[in-house]
Amino acid sequence: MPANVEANYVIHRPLLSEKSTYALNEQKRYTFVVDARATKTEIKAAIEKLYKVRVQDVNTIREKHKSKQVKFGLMIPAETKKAIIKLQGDDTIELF
Amino acid sequence: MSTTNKVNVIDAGPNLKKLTIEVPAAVVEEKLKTSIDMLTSQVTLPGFRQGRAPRQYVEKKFGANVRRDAKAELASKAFQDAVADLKLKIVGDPSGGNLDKVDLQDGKPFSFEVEVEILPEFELPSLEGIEIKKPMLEVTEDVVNEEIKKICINEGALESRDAAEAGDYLTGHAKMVGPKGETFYDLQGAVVQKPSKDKNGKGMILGIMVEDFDKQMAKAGVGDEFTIKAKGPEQHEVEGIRNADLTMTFKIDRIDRIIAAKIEDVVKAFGLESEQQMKDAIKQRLGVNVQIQQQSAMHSQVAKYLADTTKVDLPARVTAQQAARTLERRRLELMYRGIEPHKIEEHMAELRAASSVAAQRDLKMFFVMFRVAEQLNTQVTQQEVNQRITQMAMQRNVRPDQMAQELRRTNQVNALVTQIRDHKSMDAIIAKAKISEMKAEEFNEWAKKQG
Repeated sequence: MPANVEANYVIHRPLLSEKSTYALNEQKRYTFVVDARATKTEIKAAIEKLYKVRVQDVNTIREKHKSKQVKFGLMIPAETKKAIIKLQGDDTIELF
Repeated sequence: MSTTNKVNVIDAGPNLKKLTIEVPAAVVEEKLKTSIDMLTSQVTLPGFRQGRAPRQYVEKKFGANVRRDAKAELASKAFQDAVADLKLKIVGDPSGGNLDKVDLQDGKPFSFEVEVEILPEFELPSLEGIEIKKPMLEVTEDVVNEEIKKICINEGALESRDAAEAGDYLTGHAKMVGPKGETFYDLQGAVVQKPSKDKNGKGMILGIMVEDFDKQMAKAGVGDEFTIKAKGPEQHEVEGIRNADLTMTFKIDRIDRIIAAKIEDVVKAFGLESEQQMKDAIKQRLGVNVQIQQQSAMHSQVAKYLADTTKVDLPARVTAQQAARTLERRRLELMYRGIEPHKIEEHMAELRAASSVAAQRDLKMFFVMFRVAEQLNTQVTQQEVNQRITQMAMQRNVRPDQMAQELRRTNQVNALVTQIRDHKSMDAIIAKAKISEMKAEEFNEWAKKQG
């Protein structure tokens, strides 16, 4: 990931699913879809800049997706990255 | 917290009320909560199984639609409750409100205004012991012969002509243009009749009755085009035509004259054995028509009595709407009397030409008859509606189901129910009236004097 990249390019979108909602309600952990090239440090900086909160911890997961046989060969989808963020103290992010 | 609506009513004119309705904040909140909860339990969003999406997420995604629907439901219920509580008898649809401009907000009461026209308040005269004259009508030989003549014309053959003479039918392309060049009608295959001698030059084109039609049409042959200029009638159902200077052009494609069929051929075509058998059948049918005419004559007297003895202040907006409905009712009335379709159209054209006074009188009668039906507790059953449809179908020589379909297609079933209700109410008044019989000629003289 190039240095000084815009926060908006790092963070794609919050991930809203049953699992992420459970993590949010029970563990106060927010899940985001982020750029696959972004590092934990960049994600932390981007979240702090975008949402004006203090990030305590960042966990990331690289997701590989199923490849698909199509007419013209094998289609291998790009990898995506999820970031699970834990905030410091009582900081919150308004997702809804 | 209060959960009852606050309603404020002010008079905004004759028979016009302005309602200001305030739905309490608690009710608004409860309604929004229920609507979103219901949606949350039903909706399936990506990443969530059905009913598992967080309430806030659903609200963010569908909140605007939910609020709009909840607003419509709350407004409708609050309006109906207000009308029921205040015992208002509403005429027409509510209007002039600010419902589009206000939104539902959490924790705030929902307040809106609406204007309604109400049934005028008036006193009905006594409905008992009215003096009614009953004309004694007979189906004479002359009447039967006249009817046979008409049937012969209906069953006649068309003969092509090059130049039009009185009574000939012209088929072609008709166009009606307004003063600013706007086209109201553009019809291929339109038919006009060159006025016959008994009509004194009066004729109809595209539903408009023109006094000097024959003069404006002048001599016409196949391929010719003629222009008719006329003023649109005050009560035409198309607003742009009312009182407008109209120019109607007609390009003649074909001229036909009806050559009446021979009576022997008509008898054969109808599957009858003799001319006498046909006369008997016609006499029987005319006999039924005579009864209806007698009834109509008496109904007219009841209607006149009610109209003359009742004072009603009419709501303005509904009066205009009623004008269009009145035309449809008149058409139905003429169909019920068994008048031929082309005559009905001629009559309708004349009606359109009549002044707005007629519409006001009809609207007044509508209100009066509504009150009369209420007072006499007149009810209309489905069986009565079916009977009337069958009767009309017989008169027009079509199957009852075809007639019913036509009435449904043209939205005339409600008008038919109103007609039956009015007839029943009038029959109930006639049953308690003082009836004196008189000969048809005397009755006509008397009716002329009465105006």
